[in-house]
Amino acid sequence: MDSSEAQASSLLELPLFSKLTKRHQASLAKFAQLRVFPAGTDFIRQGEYTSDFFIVLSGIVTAYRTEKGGKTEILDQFTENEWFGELSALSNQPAMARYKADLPCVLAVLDGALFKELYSFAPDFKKQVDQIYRERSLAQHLRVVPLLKGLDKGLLSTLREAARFESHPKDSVLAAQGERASEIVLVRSGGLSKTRKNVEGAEELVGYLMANSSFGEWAFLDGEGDWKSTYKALVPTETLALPIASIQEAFAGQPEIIDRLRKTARLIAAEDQGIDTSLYDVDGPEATDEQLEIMVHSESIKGGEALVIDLEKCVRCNACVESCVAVHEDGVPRLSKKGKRVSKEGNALGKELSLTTSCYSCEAPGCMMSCTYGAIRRDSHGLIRFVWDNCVGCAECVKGCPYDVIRLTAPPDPEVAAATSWVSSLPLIGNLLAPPQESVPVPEADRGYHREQVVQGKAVKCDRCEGLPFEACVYNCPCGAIERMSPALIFDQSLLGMATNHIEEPQ
Amino acid sequence: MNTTLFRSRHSLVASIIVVGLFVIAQMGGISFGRGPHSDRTFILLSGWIALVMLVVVAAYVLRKYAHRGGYSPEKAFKVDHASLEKAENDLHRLQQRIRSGALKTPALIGAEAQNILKKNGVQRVNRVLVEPAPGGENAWTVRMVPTEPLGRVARWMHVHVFYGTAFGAVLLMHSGFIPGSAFGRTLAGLGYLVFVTGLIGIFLWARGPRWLTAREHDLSIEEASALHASLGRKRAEAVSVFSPEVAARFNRLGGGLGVSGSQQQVIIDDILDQLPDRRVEIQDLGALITQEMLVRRELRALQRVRASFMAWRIIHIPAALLLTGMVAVHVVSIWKF
Repeated sequence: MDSSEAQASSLLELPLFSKLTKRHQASLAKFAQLRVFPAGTDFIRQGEYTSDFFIVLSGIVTAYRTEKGGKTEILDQFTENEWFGELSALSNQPAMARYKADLPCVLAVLDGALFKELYSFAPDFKKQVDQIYRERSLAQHLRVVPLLKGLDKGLLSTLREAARFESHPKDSVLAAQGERASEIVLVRSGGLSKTRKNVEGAEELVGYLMANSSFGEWAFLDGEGDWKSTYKALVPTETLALPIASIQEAFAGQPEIIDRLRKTARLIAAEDQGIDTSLYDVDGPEATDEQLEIMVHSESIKGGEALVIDLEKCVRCNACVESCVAVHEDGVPRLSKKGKRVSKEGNALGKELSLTTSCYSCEAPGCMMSCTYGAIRRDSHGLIRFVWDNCVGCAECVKGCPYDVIRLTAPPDPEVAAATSWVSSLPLIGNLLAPPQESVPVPEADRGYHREQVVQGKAVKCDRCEGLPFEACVYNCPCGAIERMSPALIFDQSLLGMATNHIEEPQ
Repeated sequence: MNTTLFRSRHSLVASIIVVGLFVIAQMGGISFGRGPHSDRTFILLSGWIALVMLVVVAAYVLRKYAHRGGYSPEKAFKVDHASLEKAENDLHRLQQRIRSGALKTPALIGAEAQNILKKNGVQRVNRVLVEPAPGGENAWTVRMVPTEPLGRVARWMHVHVFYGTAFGAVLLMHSGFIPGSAFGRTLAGLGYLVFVTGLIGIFLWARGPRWLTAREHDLSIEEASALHASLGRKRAEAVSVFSPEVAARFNRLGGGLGVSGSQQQVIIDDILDQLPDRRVEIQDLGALITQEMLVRRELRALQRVRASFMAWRIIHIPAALLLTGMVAVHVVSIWKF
């Protein structure tokens, strides 16, 4: 038995994997990894984007959480055969805590794709993960719900059994505007759109809720407890529903807590209404319809940085697109100049601008939420990155992206030429100065075959010419018309507050 | 007007060179070109200056097309993603040290950041900017940006514009208004042609973007092209439910073979007569085809505007290439003979 087989059979002895089918056992054997951490290693930082699921095989791991005020507390401790990371593996969201190996540890690691495969298709695995989550993490997780934020973890533990795990397919409606609100809903993974009917009766997009977001405070307000918005799943979404009746029952003997919850609910509800009709800063400038539409609908305000063309400088020579093609060996441009126009009056720079179609690194990335192969992740800067090796070309991300920035290239060639210096690529004389090296076949492990699936193609998008000393489009524009800039420069900083929910702590 | 085209220190340098030469000529009573009051030294000096300007101007072209052709030497600097992430993680820890007060001055922070880049082997592709951060005095933040070793093409464009313009003036001082020999006249003529077409190009690039933006009416060429393709696909899908003969007639309309609006109506009416029970479908399809034709018309118009916008290059580029060749012959012949 070789080491990978030995490793696989030792994992299968764990109760968590005891009822896997042969197919899932094979996936586990192939894709689970072992990692060893010396004592004292912080191997996950709080806030780091990670999508791995960890099982402690030996040693002790402690989770520390630091709150905004700087206070650090121990969240939990994990010993042999215990696990953590299921929330990040499900939702690709930042880690809620810092994880440290107190003793030399050996951990089994399942990447996001493997975890999702087992969570979605192995019922016993899902049941065990959910049960332990309910016992150990639920109370802590509930503290991210603004309504329940100030409550003690011990108090929240009483709500454990009342919480209901739910799965919602894409496009299903979780709550409809006008219907009676009866529960608090916490998004565990996936994403929701939040829409509201305007005075003409048309649905207007108000915002997005992704993992660790919640809604339902209206349910706590007597006589006003109707949903003020419609919540719909953008992608398959997992939620946790907490009936209001059970909260009231749990704290029936503590009227001061119920009172506090009502006050908080009223604050949250007022803020929620405020985003629709007024600015937080009543003395600040008013947003025009164009600005509102761009900020909310295009999500450029929530994304990282936008690639912007100054139409008062652009001569439409296409050098940007041609440079993009030249830099990428597959010859597919990542940049499309087809984008949203912003008038002079619609931005703080006072120029005619075009927001090009390139990746915005959205806060609610439809691509990442659609990917089931772990091929899309965020890096430490929050930028969306594609993991080339994991992509099988299923094109779900292409469908999931609302801005049409993702393209599919042909499947990779199994033989690739070894890298040659730039000298050898010079026309005519290149071969004389540095003869190109012979093609080397790519090993099977690196060919892009993954998850037993034939690779149909590879998804690509703007990667900012990663690894190169320039961004080709910006670098090669002869007029200096194209620039990458923060939305804060394009839209007045004071208007940014409209696009985010700031919930104040109750006094 | 795009005035950033003119904002460069090279405008000053080029002006100084031209004015300097002019002043020398005036103070020495030297006439331009070969003539009774010409001066060999001045002719040689102006010639060399013109040559250097031509080389500098050509460098922009090489720089631009090196990238477009994928031959840029900077591509050899490429580093892998893992090294970039490690550098980013190390910079993140540096940021924490800055916030804790361990590093206070931009010079220290910059040096530390540069060491991080070197340690991770990414110093050739990235550099670090140390910028003031919100939150009080002596608050700093670090940001990694590309090194852009050869400089942006937009900067090279300034070189091309200003030294190219100066070249015209220096050429005049070098060769005079009408050179003596046929070769000289051809060479000078070519030079002035490149110079004048270049001036037209500068004018169009400065004024043109506004004209183009106004002409596009919120439908850019890229959008028009995508919309036209999309409408074509919809038309193809819609006509597929009809018989091949009727589908072919619709497709001829949609293909836009010089069919006028009234002719289109005649054809649609004829099809309606043949298939009266499908009136609604045919009318909808007619509307779709009309949309397609309108978008195609707009697309062609935008393409014509863009093409005319670039037309000056049809003369400028070949003339410049020919000029370069003839200048090489001229220089060699002067040197040798």
